[in-house]
Amino acid sequence: MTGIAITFFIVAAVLVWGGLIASIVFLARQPQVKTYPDGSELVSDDD
Amino acid sequence: MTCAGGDDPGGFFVTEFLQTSDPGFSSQFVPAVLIPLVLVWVAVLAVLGSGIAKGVQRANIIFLPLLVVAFLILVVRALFLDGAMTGLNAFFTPDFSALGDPNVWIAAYSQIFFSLSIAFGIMITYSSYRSRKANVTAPALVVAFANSSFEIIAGIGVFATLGYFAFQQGVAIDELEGLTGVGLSFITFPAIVSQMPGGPIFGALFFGSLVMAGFTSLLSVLQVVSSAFQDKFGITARQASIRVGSALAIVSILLFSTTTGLITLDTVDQWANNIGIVGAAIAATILVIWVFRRGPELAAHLSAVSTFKVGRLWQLLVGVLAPVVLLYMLTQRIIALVTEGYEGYPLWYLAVAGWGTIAVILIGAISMTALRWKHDPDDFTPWPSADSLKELKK
Repeated sequence: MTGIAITFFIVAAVLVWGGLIASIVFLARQPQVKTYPDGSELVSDDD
Repeated sequence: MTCAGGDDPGGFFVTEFLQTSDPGFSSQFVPAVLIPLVLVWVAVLAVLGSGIAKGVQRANIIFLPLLVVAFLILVVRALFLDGAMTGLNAFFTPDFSALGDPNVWIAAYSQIFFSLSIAFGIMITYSSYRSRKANVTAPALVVAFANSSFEIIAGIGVFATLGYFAFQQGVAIDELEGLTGVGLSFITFPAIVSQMPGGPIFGALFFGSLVMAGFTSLLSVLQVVSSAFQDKFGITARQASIRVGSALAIVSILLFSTTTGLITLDTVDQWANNIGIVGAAIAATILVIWVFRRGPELAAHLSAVSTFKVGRLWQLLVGVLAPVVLLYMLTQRIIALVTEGYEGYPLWYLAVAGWGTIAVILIGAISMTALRWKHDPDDFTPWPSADSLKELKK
């Protein structure tokens, strides 16, 4: 592969695959909000 | 191993395998298409009839990992073919001058729009089965990045294989022909597979992946229709599968498994996607954001239940960028279809199969909306309430 092709492969991999990893880690660390708006006690977790 | 098509895979696929005739509506079935299509519909209706958890969810849990593994094997195999690196150079070498061409940006927007199946109703339907307290935007990021991640892997596999094909033919990559849509999957790829070492395994993995991708996509689109009928008429998943699914299966088999099936499928797909879906997306964004002015409330709702917050930028993307770009795409496509026609098919045929598809979609949408709900949809208490969302914004 040429230098510029390798460079843009790395850019694409970091942006897209890195974005996937970052979004999975973000979701795993914060699966839900800490406090819900008013009335959340009336909505069950399965609803 | 050699390709069943020998030196003319295109002629074999279109003429011998599909027995394609001139544009029209043939009643002559092609067994090689009819039998697999019936089998696929039986499997799809069985999955849909089993409901979300036992049907669609289970099918996706089985098929999607299998699809990823099969495709990864394909990509790794492709990387070791002669000429693969030439293909990857073509894939990853940018043409910066193209950035000044607005059509490239429109094409990129169109690509990600259809690739994420925006406005098909799939994400709204799937998310309706989640808890009302469920995080919405953070999983959406995972879905969008996962989609693009798989596309890069698929692109690497496809371009490495095309590099091999160009190497075999002694031509440059940009001189290869038949690289779009049906031609790429069913004519060019089989031709390449027939020439490469380990071709039968490669071919089985490729077409196996294609079947799994198609099956899960078909399930997602049909689940939208099934859920809509279940909600509107108060019927079960099994009833929706038998009544609605069977009707769709019959129409599909009658139209698409005959000697004119490929042409009809191609024409219906062209109009339904590029005019029907794009038109629906424009209508949805303009109505929600500009007519009913619910953008701020929607953004507040998403942020209230999600860990990734959205605000004015999200409203700008949904309310301005999306309708502007989509409207341009729609206008350009309508002008092209009206002035140039499509694939050289006769005008009467395009009027029936193309514009007729749009008429059927509109009549279906209007008549289904006019029918009475089994249970009043307004008999529902929204949460978070509009008032509590306003409080949160302060």
